[in-house]
Amino acid sequence: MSTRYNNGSHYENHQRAAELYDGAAHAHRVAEQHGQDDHLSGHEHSRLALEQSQKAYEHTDGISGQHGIAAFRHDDIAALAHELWQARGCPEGSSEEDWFHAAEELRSQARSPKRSLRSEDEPTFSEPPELARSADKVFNRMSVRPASKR
Amino acid sequence: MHEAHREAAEQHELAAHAHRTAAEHNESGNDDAGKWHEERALEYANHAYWLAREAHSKSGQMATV
Repeated sequence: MSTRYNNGSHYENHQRAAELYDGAAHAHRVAEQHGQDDHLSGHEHSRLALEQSQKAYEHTDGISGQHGIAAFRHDDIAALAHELWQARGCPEGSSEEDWFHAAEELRSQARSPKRSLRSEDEPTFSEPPELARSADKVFNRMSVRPASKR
Repeated sequence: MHEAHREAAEQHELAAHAHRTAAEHNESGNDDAGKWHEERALEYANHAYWLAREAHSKSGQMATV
């Protein structure tokens, strides 16, 4: 019997995660609907939706950690995205853009074969210096290191 | 606030889909593809959780008005 199907297999873990995300998505749809009718009821549903989201996220994070994929986490992306947003002068209505730039930068650094955790190493990417410096600051305080360096 | 919950729901659905796709690849023994989709699932999960927190924050502001 394949080890994939024993003791928290990839298949079962992913199916469980998918169910949790379905539940969270449903909770957010309900919160959206209730928020249109009644703000107090909507806020309570919002809280329930956030709990579902957190539960699902922790499941994904656990799976990825087991499989050596968790090169960076939500807080790392959020920290870099916030720094990028500040560096652009805190414009309104563009948080998505900063988020995806931050995720892309952290991903590219985590995958870089030249990436080292030693502080004396030279930067190995050709992104704008501002972006590179912000990403490095996040890496330096990250609790989870790039998978390839574990 | 409604928009934030809608975006959060969409990202959660994408995460669910990525996990299911990863599961299918793992089941068929295509571990590389499974890992790729698992990485996408983690990205969607990160973003979904961030949107969920943002939606709840906005919801709190609305409830106190």
